[in-house]
Amino acid sequence: MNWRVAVADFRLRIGFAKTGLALWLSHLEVVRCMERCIRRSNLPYAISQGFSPHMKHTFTAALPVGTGSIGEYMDVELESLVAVELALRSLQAVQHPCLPVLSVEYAAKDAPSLQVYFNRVTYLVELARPDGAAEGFEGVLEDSACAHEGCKDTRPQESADALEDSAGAREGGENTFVDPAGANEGGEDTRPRGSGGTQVPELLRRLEPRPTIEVVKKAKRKSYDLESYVVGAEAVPGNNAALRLSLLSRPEGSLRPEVILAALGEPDLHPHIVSLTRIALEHQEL
Amino acid sequence: MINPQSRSLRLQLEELLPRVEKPARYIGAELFAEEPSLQPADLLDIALIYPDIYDMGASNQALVILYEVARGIPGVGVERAFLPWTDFAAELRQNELPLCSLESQRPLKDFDLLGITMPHELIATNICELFDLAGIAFLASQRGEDAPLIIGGGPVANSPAPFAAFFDAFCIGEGEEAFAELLIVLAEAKRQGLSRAERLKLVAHVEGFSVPSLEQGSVTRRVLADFANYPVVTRPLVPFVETSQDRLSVEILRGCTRGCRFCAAGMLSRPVRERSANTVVAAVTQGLSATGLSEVSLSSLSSTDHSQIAPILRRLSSRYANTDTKISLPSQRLDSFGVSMASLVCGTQKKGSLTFAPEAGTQRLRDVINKNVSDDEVMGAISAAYEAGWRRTKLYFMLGLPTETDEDVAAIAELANKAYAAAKDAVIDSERGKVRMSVSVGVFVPKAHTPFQFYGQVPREELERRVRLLKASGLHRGVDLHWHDPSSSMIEAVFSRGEASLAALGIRAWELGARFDAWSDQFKLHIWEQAATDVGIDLQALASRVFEVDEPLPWDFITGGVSREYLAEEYKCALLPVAQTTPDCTMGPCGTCGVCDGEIKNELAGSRG
Repeated sequence: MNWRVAVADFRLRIGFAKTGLALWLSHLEVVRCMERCIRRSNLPYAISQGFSPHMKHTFTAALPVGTGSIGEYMDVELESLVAVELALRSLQAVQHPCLPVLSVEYAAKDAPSLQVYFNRVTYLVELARPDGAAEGFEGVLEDSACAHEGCKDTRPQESADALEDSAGAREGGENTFVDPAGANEGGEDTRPRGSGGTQVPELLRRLEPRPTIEVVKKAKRKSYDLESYVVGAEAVPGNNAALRLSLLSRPEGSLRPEVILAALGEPDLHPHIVSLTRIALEHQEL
Repeated sequence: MINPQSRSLRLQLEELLPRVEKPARYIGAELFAEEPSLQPADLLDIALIYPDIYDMGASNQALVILYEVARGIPGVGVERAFLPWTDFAAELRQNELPLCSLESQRPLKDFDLLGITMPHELIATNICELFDLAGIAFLASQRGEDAPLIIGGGPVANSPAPFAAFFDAFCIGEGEEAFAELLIVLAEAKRQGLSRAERLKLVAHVEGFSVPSLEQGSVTRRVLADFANYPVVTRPLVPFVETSQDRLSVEILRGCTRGCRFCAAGMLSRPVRERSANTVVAAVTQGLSATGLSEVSLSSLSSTDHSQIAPILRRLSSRYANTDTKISLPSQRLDSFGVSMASLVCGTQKKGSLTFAPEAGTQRLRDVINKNVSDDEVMGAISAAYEAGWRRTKLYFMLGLPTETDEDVAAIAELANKAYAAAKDAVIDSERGKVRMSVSVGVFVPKAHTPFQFYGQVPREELERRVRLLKASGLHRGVDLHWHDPSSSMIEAVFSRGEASLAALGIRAWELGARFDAWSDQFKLHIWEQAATDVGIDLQALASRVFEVDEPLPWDFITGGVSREYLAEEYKCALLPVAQTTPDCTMGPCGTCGVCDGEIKNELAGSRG
């Protein structure tokens, strides 16, 4: 029997994280994975009518490959009301552990789209230390739900601390950093802190006052006044190789943190980002 | 087993990810993938490998099924591996890192057994690349006591001679039961600490396994006895990456007795065995709800031949009406019944394209190859498809079939033009502008265990002339023509009926840089020509070699399938001045192919036709 109708009445807003090995997924791969999670959950999702029926959903702005997040959202249209507790349980029971569902609520039917609404994005940026302690582009985020061996391996202590500072307490996370060399048997991070973390204060200093930077996009040179784009920049307590950047996306354009840091680093600093995580999505009236 | 060393390796491999295209290929962690964990030291560690990139192999049915088989055997730990794309391979070499398994990221050379599926004949250079990246000796004879046992399987294992030097053993035929038996034997051998030579002797005693280094006599091809009740994999790993088979696959029947004389799959997969409608419907609903996939393919060599295909499709299309779930049939029978079945799965949506395979342009040549369809049936199917709402169809033909003349080549264009006219006639005036048709032309490759195994491939330059002839044959401007490059088909023909001396050719081509030869944009004929010169092989002579019907063949040692006499008889029927056709034994009399002389016979869920 067909009880599905063309007009969806309920817009379910699902909060989720992109953690662990899922860091390496493209936006399209995240979308596919979340769609499948919703199908497995048996939620009464609406489908578009027409030539090629598909689930009706929208996502927050695409995260690039290699960028994690603890604050993503997607809206999916439902055809009947499902209590939020039940919806949350149904999704969590079938979620992929690296894309855990964190929250569920209903959005107003006429609410602005996710991409327009969430125009203030805060990133946690971790830079390589010249002493080489934080090697490579490590997965930063680890939700307690994610049990993959690979996810456990790649979680630096600092990032976890920083996240708990900024994103509120998250319980039960496994905070053991495994020393890549295998020499650190206690599992506790005893790496020297701060020996090479001199870039962060200098980069932050170069943001005061906000300069105008030149960016080349698709062979076109454009200048951006960072006063309009960088709405917050601060060091992370306890981790002097990391900083938080809050960026505004505007109708006339937006900037990625790596682009800003590369421009600020000219000509002498060459900040090398080892991990990039979206830690908050907010709305700011322009 | 996870040890500190492999943790370190995992971190080093993860550092490569930002530098490569589609890093999700290399992370594993798919839904339902097993977590690597601490395991007892006497566990039999195996890795199943598809020797192409993840995107091509992750949904390969052999891998999906055997992964499930291995997971069910106590004392066995199973992981997977794929060949990385060239960017990742270059990074591995530059950083001096070995190719690792997907799950625990351990070097492949540390496993006890590597099971490699060989899907087609153009795989030799990928196998060399795999061994080189993994740090494993190319030749079985050069592997030490600690090297993994390397076991090949899949379609190419039916003519394994060209690959024999690379492998310690081959699994011949259907792997479900054979592989399980092998793993049980080897798990016990590991507990007992048996030597490599002792283990190989045990492998040779498992029915269906050929061990090239031992004198074995004949090897009997394995056939799964109770296919109908063998469990369907309804919780396959669900890849993040969009794979070449990005859907749930439920195999509804195995085997095909239509008897096309060029078709290795049809000859090798007999007898015909069907799963019942109840089994199929239950597997589809369970699989879709467990995985969250939005498409299911009812797979087989000829799905519309299933005796219960109509009730299966009616039940599934009513279950999934008005949802975003798609049901697909991989092949269409060339008649209006095929179209009506395709209509059932699509409901009102006819957005895709239907593919039909007349294979040859004239009735005479279709009789030669035993493709028992008439021009009228082709036109009936085309009219039915466009009347039912489809606007795109693809017609598939082969060039270079035995006895093909210029008239047969030109007839491909004539048949396509007639079909195009029939398509235009089948729709109302306002829809005529939307009618699309394409013609796709492959090249005949003689395959072992088929009636045409004796026939030599038409030389490459002649095939190229026939392609030009077809292009000049007045094909309607509205019909798109695509053709397959005869030069890679020549290499396929070299390997499909080849001998053990070809290992040197594969290695030389790899040394000269050949990789991913099945990818048309990667295949380079000049490399293969250079390699052939270097090792003293005449490619064209091997591809075009004609075997006498009583001549010994390199794959004669494989028994248990269609008989050699039947193949010779079919070959003779094909080459008579007026070719004789042989009917499908599931709808007509027994063709005496010999398969049912064994214990397992055709087993249908209902009656056909």
